[in-house]
Amino acid sequence: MTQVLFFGCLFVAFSPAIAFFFFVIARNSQLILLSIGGSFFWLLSILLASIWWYIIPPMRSSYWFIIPFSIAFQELFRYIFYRLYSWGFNNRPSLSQIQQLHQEQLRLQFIRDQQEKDNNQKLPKDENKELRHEQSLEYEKDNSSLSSSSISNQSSSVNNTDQSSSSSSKKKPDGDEDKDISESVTDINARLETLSARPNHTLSSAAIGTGSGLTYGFVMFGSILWDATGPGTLFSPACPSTNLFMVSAILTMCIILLHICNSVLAFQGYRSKQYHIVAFVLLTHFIVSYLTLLNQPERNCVGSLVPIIFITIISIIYTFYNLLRSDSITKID
Amino acid sequence: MNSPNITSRNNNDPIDNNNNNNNNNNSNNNNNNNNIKNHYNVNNISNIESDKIKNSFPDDDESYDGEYENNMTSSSGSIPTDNNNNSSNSNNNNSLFNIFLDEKNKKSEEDEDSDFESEFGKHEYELETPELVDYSESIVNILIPVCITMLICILLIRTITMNEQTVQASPLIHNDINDAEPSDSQTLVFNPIINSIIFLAVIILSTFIMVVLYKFKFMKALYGWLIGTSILLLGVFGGYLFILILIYCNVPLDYITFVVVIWNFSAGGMVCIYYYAPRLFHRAYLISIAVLMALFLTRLPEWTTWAILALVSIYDIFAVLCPGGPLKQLIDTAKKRGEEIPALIYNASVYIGMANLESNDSNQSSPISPTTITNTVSTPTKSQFNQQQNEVSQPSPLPNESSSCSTLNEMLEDDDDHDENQMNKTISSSPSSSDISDTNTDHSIQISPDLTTSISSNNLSTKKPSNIKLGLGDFVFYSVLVGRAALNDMITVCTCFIAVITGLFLTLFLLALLKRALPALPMSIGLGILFYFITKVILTPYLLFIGSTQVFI
Repeated sequence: MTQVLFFGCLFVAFSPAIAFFFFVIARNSQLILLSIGGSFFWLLSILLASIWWYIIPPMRSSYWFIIPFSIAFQELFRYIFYRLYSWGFNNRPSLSQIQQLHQEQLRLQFIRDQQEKDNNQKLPKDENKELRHEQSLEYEKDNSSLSSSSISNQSSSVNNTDQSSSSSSKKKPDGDEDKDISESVTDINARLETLSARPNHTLSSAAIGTGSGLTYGFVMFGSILWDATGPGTLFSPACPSTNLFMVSAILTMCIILLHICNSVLAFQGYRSKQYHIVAFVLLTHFIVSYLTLLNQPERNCVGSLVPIIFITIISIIYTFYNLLRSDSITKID
Repeated sequence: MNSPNITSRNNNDPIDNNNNNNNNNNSNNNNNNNNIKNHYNVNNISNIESDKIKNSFPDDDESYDGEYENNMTSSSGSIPTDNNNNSSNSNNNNSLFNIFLDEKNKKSEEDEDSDFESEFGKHEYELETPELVDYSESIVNILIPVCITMLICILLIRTITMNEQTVQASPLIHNDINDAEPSDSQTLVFNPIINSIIFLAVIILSTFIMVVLYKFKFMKALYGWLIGTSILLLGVFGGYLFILILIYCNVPLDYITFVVVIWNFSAGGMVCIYYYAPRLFHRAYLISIAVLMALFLTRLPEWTTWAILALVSIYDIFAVLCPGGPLKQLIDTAKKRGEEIPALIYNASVYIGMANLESNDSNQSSPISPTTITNTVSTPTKSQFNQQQNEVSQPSPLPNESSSCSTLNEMLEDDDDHDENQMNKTISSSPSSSDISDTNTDHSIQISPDLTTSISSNNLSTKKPSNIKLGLGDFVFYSVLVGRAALNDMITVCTCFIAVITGLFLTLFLLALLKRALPALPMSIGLGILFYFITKVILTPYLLFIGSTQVFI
């Protein structure tokens, strides 16, 4: 019987997020890597929060002290991850653009080689070499202008704050530059090109949220859930007639979904500098965490469960409303 | 890249194992193409075109093949006997040196053979229809088996080992799990150190023996050793685990059936790992070896486990990166000979297939560089062809092979470049050397299918340029870390799991940057150990305090 309870709670808590992970995120390997990054950063935040809790003994038993700082750490790391993400991915061409450019490049190259062949018979070797070099440089310019223009067309909503950093990673070698250096730079760039291709921002923020949410679920609820396999069962102190594992499972499911929504909303807020969205994220996070204080003994778990479910539904609706209003969904490339 | 020509030739030589591998490679390759096609429009055209070109050079290809195969059998067969080996090795050294020469010299030669160019420029262009493959995809392809191994380990330890503590029915091995806490502080400090030094000595000894065997070409002894140890591992540990599962499930079984099952399991494993098998079975057996080894190592006392993990990951840095390190020696030797290192290595490249991650064009700073071919062949026509191809694909920098010294050996060298990052792992003890071999540009487009297939008959990895290889030892030690965490708590398991995965991802990312063999253990194990102790000391009480009243933050 406890096995049944275990699997029931497991599926209640994790099946929405896992389904989202496998049906949406697992299709794209880049998104998988992003979700791993999201989980790692969430883990760092919770570790810092726990260290903060550990080094200040007098406040250890005060929930009103624990909750704000842990939430602050989580949101701080979300912002750090956003900065990292935008440093890595803004102003990068997407994968389809890369392929397009690749074909374009091959075509141009072929044409250029044909021309060279004609020139070859007329020009002596040395001049020919220089000519080729010049042509390739011109071609670089074409290419860069092409990529930048296509990016700027598609990412009008994207806030290009980090142009210097991304341009440094995508440095074009000058003609005067030493051959070896330029070669190594382009070599690395070519290798990282597909790795750092710009993913769809909405999907990638959802992937980050899924990673952090799933980690949240396993860390916060995993150890509780594993105890469900033991003999006997446990009832919630707040609601003596309800199973503790079931209450926790429902809460975990809601908070995992909230993590996904919060990640999408916060990333969009940071990107478009609409900070009221970020404020909404902070507010829901605080409210939900403080509502779970009602799970303590001598209070009522209905008071925490029902509002949290409502908040989850509302923030999901708000997420879709925001995405539709800003055309982020219809712009999937 | 198959051509009917090749397959028929292979079928004529059923005796040769290498050719069997060859067929396998080809089929894999087709699968790869299909897979890639789903994501991108990849290279049917290149196949067709390569066939075209091949048809245009029928004579050259055949003569080339004959020559090449002679060389292959002499230099890189499983049991080389010829005197030619020495000469070929020396040539390999030279050519290896040449490869890393500046490409400026090559430029001057690039404009020869304009006749060829005019004839085949069109084909060239068609050959290079884009083959862009995510590097992230190859990273994920190596992360997935690691995750599977660790998950199996966690589940087995959480169910069987925990159960075993209460049942106490294991007849074979003394259960050390609960002995980990000696009261004496001196034994607490010194026992783990001594144990781990002994363990490391075994690892170094076995690696040394392996390198010696490989360097002096005792290939039969080497393979005998590898097969013997892996059959013992599968049989003994697999049998023990099978008994534990039977006890856990409370199923009676007679010894005859038991012996038959275990024998079939381990003998089948030998066939799958060392001979020829569907890809799924091959990988399943590699994973099962890793899981069994990790389950065994998890039974060591706790502090011994940590000491072993730390020492082994430090040793891993030395063995892979240091010039005199044994694994580096092994890799270099294999590079010289153009062979795949005979060891247990998980090769994730098969899914990825034709990826060409690095393209060397110096002039084109544009992110996407066309794939290039750098192989050169001894036959003059071939080298001309290559030169011409180089010209088309790379305007300025010509690979050195176009230079006059191009020989068959250079081709071997190119293959070796692929292998450069391979790590080696001896089965029983092997420290983890991670081999992650980064991709090679060169083979992305094969001029003549015959050429590439003949190479790949020798070396599994040549066909797939973007292959990431991870030694099985890395799998084992990751699983040991996570399994040790699984003896504690689910929170610890979760944090260690994520730490290991993140460390592996960072390593692979560095691999893309540095393009050389890297040790996979230090970063993952370091992060894992750090997270383990932080979790155990600080995070678990924190979460227990919060969770005791069901407060969610």
